[in-house]
Amino acid sequence: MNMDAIKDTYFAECGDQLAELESGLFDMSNGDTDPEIINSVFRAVHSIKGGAGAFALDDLVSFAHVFENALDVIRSDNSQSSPQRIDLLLRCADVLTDIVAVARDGGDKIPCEEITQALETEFNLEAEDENAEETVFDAVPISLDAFDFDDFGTPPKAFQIAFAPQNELYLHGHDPQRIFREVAELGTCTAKADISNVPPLDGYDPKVTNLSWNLTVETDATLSAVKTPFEWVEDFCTLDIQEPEEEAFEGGADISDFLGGLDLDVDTSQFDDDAPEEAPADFGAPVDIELPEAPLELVETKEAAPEASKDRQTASKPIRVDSAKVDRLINLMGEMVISQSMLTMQINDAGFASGTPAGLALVELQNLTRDIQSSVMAIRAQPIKPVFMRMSRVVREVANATGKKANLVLEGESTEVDTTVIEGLSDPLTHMIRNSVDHGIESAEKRIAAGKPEVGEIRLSASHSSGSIVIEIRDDGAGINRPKVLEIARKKGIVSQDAKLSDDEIDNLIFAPGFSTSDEITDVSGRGVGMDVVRQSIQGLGGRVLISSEPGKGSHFTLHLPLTLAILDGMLVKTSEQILVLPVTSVIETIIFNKEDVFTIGEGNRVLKLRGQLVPLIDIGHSLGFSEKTTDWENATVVVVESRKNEMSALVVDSIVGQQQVVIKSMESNYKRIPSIAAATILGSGRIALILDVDDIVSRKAKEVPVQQTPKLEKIA
Amino acid sequence: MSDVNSKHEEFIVFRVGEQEFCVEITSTREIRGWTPSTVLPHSPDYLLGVINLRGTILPIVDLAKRLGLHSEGPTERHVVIVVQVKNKMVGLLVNSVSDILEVKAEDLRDVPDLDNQVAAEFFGRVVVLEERIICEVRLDRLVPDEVELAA
Repeated sequence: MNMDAIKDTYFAECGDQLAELESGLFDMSNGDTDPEIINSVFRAVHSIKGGAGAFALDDLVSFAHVFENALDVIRSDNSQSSPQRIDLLLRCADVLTDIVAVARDGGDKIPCEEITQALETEFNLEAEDENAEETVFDAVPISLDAFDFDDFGTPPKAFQIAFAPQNELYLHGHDPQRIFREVAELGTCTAKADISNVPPLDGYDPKVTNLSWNLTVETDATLSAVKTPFEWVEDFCTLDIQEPEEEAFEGGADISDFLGGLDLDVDTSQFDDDAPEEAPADFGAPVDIELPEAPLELVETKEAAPEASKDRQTASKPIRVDSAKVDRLINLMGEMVISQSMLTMQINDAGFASGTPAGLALVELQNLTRDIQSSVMAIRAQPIKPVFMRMSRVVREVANATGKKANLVLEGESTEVDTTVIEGLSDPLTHMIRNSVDHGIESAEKRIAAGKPEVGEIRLSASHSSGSIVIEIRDDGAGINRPKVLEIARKKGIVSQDAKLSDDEIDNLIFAPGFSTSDEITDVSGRGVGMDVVRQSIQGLGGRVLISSEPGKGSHFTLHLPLTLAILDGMLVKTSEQILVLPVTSVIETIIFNKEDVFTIGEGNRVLKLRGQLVPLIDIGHSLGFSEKTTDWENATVVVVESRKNEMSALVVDSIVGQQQVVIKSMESNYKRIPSIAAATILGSGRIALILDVDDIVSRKAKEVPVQQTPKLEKIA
Repeated sequence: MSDVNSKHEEFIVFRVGEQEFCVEITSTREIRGWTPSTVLPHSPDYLLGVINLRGTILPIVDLAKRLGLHSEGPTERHVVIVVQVKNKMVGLLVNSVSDILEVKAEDLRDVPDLDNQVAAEFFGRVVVLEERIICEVRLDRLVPDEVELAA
């Protein structure tokens, strides 16, 4: 592991520590006085400082040092904390985050003299308090990949090694003495020869080995280290290494106890680091002994538990894994789901009933696959908390910049969401939270005048709901100023002057491209690109944004996001002998085709009258070029779909095949993007089915005219 | 185009209609039988659709159609040669695979200047043997580029 890799690990850990820090301070600001929280906050800052020292990141060290001292004041006496102080500490955490970011990515030095001074004054710290260097070093979580637990000192243990070489060992030129010497280097070693198998001299064959040894090694080395000397001879001997529990060692279970009181201490050799050259007694020397009448029983082996001593340290330790590896696992998982459904089909076709052994084994396999699938998905899922914690900083900063008072309340922050979704969520959420504080929450005076609490409240919550993640942002501010929104929209030409819009439609105008309600462009919330971008990024994650607002009471944004981006809930439909997949999320309803409801407008533009509303009708088979234009459908089904822009279309298909989860496969990896097609998937039969891009279809074919014929790219002579 | 360092190059020779063509063996990934494909909308007529190659979506090009020859359409007797073009994989539908040739550098010629668009567009080099000549198909020209076909 080179220096850069260690540094990367350090910064990755810094991220965790900062999250811990912020989360701890957040709990403290909510009045939690659990000493464990302040300890964890202190530990976080301390380990950031410790690592920074190793990499000579001086700015980071000096700021973390002051920060740590301030925390120490509260740590030693909890009554020292006050909302004011915690607020200051929260701002310090922000600065620390910035300094870490600069140390990692480079950039301008973060000015921190002011806040350092504020800290020193607030907590009565003496500048350059050298004594603080003596701070007790707390245990700090360390990631497994960076450090090996073997490095930690473990108390000496006595290993019992039973070693019985076979003839081959000698024939290959190995020498037990050398092995024993190597073992002896690990600690104190006692070797006892077991000569019980040596025959009387008259039957003695010098070519056959009869000796075995019992070794006792007192060492703090690990089992694997003890094994190493035997590495080359493993195949040529009987080897049994036992790592006894500590009590057993104390009890001094001497090997001679097992040897039935035989006086065999003949060839005991003491191996000493000091005198390795003074070779131990010659193991082959003839020994004058009485042979036992009965054959000796082998030393009973106890169930050794070499891992037991490590369990304590490794319990529930997170490991860092490259997300690409997890993605690959998820891909393979998808393959397995497909193979399994192919197998199911084959077994059913072969005529095995569900009660037969084959059928039962298949059910077992299906259960396993499902369990594995959810476990694999769970690897990618992470609590949404880190993103939520970042929002508390946003609220703080925007409130400071605008002079408003706002408080962020979090709910359901342990809700687990796919990592990709989490990554993509940070920016849109930041935008929305900024907007909520900047535009939503009124100034303190206005709030008091309106009879509301002085401090505004923004409630950010996450929850699971029927296979999707719901994130809600509620503020108790002024709500959307509809007359103003409408006025601006008219002025900017987003809606026509005389358009009559419902309240909902007006609210949704804030998502229109190039819309900004703020009279002046503040440096806080953007230049009218905000909500437009928010909507796009949420849609990019396969989700949607809803808004509702009540004047004077506040606004309420709801984000619906998919649990994962790798699998889609699909409705399988059939048209022109092709099976196509529609994302269930975009399907509004399915109805039986009724000729009387179809009207033709102009040339060939057909619409469906649906409860008084006219919806463009799309002959999906024809528009994809699979079939001729159909005018007379019989037994057809209409699937009403809605695009993310809330435009509706009615797709005519032959029939609905069913609904199932499908694994999304990219078309682009081996081909290219195709209009109207979002991706492909593999069905249980092994055939490929295309997943329709509803947005593309709806926007492309608002009129029912095939946009293009199959293109003839080049004429070939 | 020609590699002066290596004395020999290996080619897979296959039959399309009545003619023989070849591709470099290093571009070839596997040879498999024809399985029914899923038709893609908005795609050129030489693209037969996509098939499932162990979980990968593999587009299939009807080489006869692509080269402007008479196509019999896919039958069970047809063979798909899976080739790698840059970082993408594509399957070529051919009648049969006939040979693997080890060709000496001096037996490789450039395509003569013919008044034929197909030759100029799709053929790289020509393997000249005693009794026959075999054109090498330029794989990078077979599949449409990233350029959107749609209007």
